Amino acid sequence: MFKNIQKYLLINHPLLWNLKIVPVSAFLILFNIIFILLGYLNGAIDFTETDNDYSRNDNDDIIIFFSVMISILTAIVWLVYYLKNNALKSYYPKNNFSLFKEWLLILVVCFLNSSLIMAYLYGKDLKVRSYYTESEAKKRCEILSQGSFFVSGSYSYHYNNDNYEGDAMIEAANYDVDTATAVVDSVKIKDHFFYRGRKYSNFSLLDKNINSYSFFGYNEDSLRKMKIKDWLFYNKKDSVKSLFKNYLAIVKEHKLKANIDEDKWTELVYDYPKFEKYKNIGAEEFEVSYDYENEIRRNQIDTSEQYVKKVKDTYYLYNKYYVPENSLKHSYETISNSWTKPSVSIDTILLLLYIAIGFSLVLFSFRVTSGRNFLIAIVALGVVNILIGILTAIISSEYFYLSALLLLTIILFVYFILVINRRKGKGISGITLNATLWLLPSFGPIVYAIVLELAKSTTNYYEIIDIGLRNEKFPFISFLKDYAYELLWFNVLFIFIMMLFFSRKIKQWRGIAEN
Amino acid sequence: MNEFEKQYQELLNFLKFDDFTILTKRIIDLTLDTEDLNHYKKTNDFLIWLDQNENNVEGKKEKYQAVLSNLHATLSNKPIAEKQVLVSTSGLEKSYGSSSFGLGPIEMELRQGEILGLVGENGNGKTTLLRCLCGELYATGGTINYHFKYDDQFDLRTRLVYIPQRTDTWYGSMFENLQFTASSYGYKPEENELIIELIIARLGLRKFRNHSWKSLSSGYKMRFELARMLLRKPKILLIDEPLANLDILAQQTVLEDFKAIAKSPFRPIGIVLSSQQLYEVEKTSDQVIFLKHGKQKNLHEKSVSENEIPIENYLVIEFESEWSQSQLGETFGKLDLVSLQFNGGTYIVSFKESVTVYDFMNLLVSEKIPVQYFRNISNSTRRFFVS
Repeated sequence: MFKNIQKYLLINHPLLWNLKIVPVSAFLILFNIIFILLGYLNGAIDFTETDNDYSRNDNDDIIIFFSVMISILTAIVWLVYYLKNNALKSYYPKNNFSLFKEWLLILVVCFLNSSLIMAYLYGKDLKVRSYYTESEAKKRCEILSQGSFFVSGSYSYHYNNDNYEGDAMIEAANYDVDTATAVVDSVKIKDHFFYRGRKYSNFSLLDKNINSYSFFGYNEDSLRKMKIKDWLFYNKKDSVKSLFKNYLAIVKEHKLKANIDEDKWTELVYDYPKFEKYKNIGAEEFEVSYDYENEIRRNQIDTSEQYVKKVKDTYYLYNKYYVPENSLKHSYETISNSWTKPSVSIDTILLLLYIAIGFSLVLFSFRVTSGRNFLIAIVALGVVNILIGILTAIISSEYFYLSALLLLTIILFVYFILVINRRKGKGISGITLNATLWLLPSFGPIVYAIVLELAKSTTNYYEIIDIGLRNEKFPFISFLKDYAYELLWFNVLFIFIMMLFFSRKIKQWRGIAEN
Repeated sequence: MNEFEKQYQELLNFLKFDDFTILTKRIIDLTLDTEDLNHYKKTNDFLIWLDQNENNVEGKKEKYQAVLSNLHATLSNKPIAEKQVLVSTSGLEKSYGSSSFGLGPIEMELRQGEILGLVGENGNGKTTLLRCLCGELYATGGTINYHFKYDDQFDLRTRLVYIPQRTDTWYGSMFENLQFTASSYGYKPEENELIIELIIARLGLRKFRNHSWKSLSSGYKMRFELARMLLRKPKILLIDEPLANLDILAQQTVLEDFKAIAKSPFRPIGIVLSSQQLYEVEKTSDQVIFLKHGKQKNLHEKSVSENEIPIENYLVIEFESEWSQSQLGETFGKLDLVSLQFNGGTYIVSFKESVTVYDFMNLLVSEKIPVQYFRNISNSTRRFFVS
């Protein structure tokens, strides 16, 4: 089939034939699909896994290694065929857009060839997302987040929280002015806090934190926490029990282990109204192995909650009551991230695009100049870069390196245009053209960095520390920072426009005599 | 009788004397001249028929006649191209920075259908002149004027084909390479394969269509370059030492091919070729430029510029004899001898212009001078090599 397609292209579209665009694209698309499938097959969540599990068996390293190997081999084989013919070097007729078209097609191949890892990660995300719909996943994360309130974990420790004073004032002021004053006066010895005017010990269950998922922002988490506190405050035991039921249903669904049911859980933690006498519910069965002799004396283990078990010569700490919170947290965080922070997003595509543009320009410059010019350009640009680096170190100016690169790009560009208009001979323009094309993608970002730095240093930007005030006083700087990604996309457009220009000029340049 | 009719008569004579090889080549040339898909198909079919009926002389004759008549009917209505000037130079010079060598000044003019031979010893500027003419080198002085339209330098170079002495390697199959050239030059898909079949048949390359470049001899490499050149339909073909590495027969064939290609009545091109094979080049070329230390010497022309050395119209004979120089000098003294040089195995003798070649031959016979060969080089650039 490919033979026939190639035969057709050879007599109808010589550029496409020369680029071997159909076989190489088909091959790369196939491999991208294979890597999506690999990702999908490899993306299954092991719900028993936790964050602390280092013996994960997800084959990621091997697959990424193979994807890189396949990319390199594909590039080599493709180049062997692609570089067999060169219509530009043979002075075959070309229209003004032919070279641009060629570069675009090279870019497509480079993009497809660089996207295998991305395809794999996309496949993994697809698998993870396939467990539940986004709304279902979100609902479950909400249950788990609420449930984590009743599982061993961190506390707010209000007495340590500097920012809490204001809140305490307001809360207290709403109910009892005297108490509020007392709170402020007794900051150092404070061992309690107020919720809706009711005083609670810092070790009350109401002081517990909840686990968060990337689905939710700070506000949502706060509201959820408040909702649970209200259940406790208003003694809504049934709501708590219902939460435990839902939580344990998820546990059951994933065939995980919990040694309490909702009744037992309620019995262990529900201590209305103070919620001070409650049992710690472990986030997993097995807590930690430790040196019993040293640790046991320092940490007085509450034997009503934990127990030590000696297996062979090692001591292990076990929770008496536990639910698989750590496993669920780990798994559902993965699910949550697959929706909120997918591996393949518009930002990662931008990154991939820049990588592909980089490769395509290197290849294109080699194609339109010569191997000799290409190699000299690598060495020359390397030497110039080192020299600029040394000068930057000597001058120790933040701008020097970037400004020098910018100036170099502009000088190389002007030289190229001069050579074309002078028509006397190519001079060293074959070498400089390589360097110009390689520096082209960095032109926009360098201008951005210099402008940003100038805008900061020519104003009193650094003197103002408050971020809000900075944004207000320096809208231009805020704009540059806020729209960095958009500006990078704009730079892609700039590269395309410049390549359109270059492609036409390179054709003219090719016609100029050698030295 | 126009140019085409003259050539057609010549073809009829080839047929009359059963000179089928050259006739086949010329038929392909005429077919390409038609630029008509139907003719391409018919001639291709004819070539296939020929392969299967090699020994059927009578049948062949009939077929040849039919194909010729068919082509004649089409081409006799086609307008004959006017022989326009393609390129002219005025005081063209090229120097290489600090190097003492400098080419030029060169004055030349090349028309469609003409072959210009560049001769001279190694290192005297032949390749430099070719590279200047094809745009690969820029002239440091004087001008080169191309008398046809082109958009830019690249476009110009698509219309000039320069075949250097050491050609670049072709990768992949020869046939695919030619197809790539044809499609790049805008040949229609339906004529792509047909026209290449004709061209490779024209140059005797049918057996080598799927060969790799490395498996070809330098003679066949040259032919493939010519095949590619034919597809490119250049205005000017510039070719450096095409006869180097070719045997005598191949040299004659290639030169004959050049002549046929350049002198097509309908699609004439200009050819500039450099060579050391003086006599062969002189036989084929319409004009010859001799280069010595980069300077141009034109043969037996009135002095068109002060750079040219005026040449006496002596009778100059090159010959080989076993006699000694003194014996020969004594004998040739009976005619108006100007000089007698021994030049590495051959003698060059010059007589005043009153002496004719017949007088020289009479002397050879009457004095019984043993001679292996002799050649009248009065009108050959060979004179420049020995003077």
